[in-house]
Amino acid sequence: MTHSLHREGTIDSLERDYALFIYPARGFNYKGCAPKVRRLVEIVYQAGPVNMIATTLRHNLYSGVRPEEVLDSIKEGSRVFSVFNNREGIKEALKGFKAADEGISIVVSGLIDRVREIALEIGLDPHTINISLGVHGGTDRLPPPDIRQFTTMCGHGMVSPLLVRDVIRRINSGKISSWDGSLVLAKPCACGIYNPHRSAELLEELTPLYTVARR
Amino acid sequence: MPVIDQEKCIGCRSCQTICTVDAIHFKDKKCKIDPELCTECYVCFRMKICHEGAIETQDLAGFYKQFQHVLSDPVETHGVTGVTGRGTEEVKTNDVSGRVKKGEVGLSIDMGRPGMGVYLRDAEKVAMACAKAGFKLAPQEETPLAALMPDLNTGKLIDECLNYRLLSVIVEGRCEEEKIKDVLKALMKVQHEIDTVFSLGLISRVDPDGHCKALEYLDELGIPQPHRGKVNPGLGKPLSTA
Ligand code: SF4
Ligand code: SF4
Repeated sequence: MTHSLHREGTIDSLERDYALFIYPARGFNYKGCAPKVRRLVEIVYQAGPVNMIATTLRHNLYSGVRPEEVLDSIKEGSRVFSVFNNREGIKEALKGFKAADEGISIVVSGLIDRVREIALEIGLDPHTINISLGVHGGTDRLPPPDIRQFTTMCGHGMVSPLLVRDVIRRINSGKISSWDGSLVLAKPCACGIYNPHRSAELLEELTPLYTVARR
Repeated sequence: MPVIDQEKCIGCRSCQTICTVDAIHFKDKKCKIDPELCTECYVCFRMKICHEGAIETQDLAGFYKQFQHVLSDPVETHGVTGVTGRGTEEVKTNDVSGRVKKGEVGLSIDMGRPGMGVYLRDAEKVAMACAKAGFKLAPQEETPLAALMPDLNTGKLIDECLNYRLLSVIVEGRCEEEKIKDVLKALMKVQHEIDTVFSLGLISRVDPDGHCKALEYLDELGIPQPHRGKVNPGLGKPLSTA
């Protein structure tokens, strides 16, 4: 599962986009992990994520789940995914995790230099890294890069390019705001790592460049 | 699989915007799902997009149909690996599990992503090209695709599955650091032989000085230098001897 790895966009925009995962390892530390994961989730809440989901739920914070439901749903083997729109938030969470020392795997997905910088600042030695080497093959058939900035925020591809265009059209014709449009796009993402703040920013920038034509 | 009840459909076309791979077509004032293109991701169904209740699901007939759905719909849990999404933990738990060891490099070749979909015949081409170049494909306990791969040494898939289309599937495995250049070379060649795209992730243990040998080859192979990645900061307690 590499659903957060290949987010696209400018460096400037990606500076405000970090996905964070709490990940018990199957066959190693599932047993008894639920209270540990719950404590880690409390730390995440205090650091101010902009979206979140537990794998026990099928919906994220923008598709009808309340924060306390995430906490209540955690059981043995639950993994929790979240996203932050600033460097300080992710640093705060990692600091809290380090102090809690629960021994559960954590992964941060974002600009490599930025994440390593944060790790250094709080005295963590990264263990493994998975780096994105881009998209290959018939790339000429992909939707344009500006649309992919949205669709790749749900790495599983649940946010369709046509939905992005539809939302842009609805904003342009005055039916919804950029924020509400962003929430429409966040809904299908079943992993809770769609960043609605970054998406609203991108919609603000992009909508003037598009017409209201249907397809 | 999802189907549209033609009696109930009023042809409003709302469902078309939500379909992840543009598999819903409008014809004779109604929408229909093209079974050839549909990846069974169930987004149209789960999002309750149709106000007329015209989108329904039918039983998934047989193993391959179910495989297609489980891999395309991230809320499903894969039966063998027990993991949601496309069913693999890859390096997210590497600090605990030690799956990728020092001196090894892993690859996660995310076929069909972003948003294009992939026929398993194209996943086979990529797996076979990598295996031939010395890549050790991951076994069933680690990654779902291996369930369709009777011989991990060749990467050949079971013939019956080849024409199924998934939203995405990962070809995954690892090799010794010295072999990675050959594997990446093979990938840069096979990319021209497939009818889709893949997003490429390279997995490596972190050197104290931040060095990763594989990065030295990228310029030569025409692969852009990376700026995004997923870092496992080592907060998990090692429970493997690797
Ligand atoms: S949303 Fe429902 S009624 Fe509208 S076109 Fe699709 S299936 Fe038909
Ligand atoms: S299941 Fe997925 S691919 Fe098939 S019609 Fe629905 S949204 Fe499209």
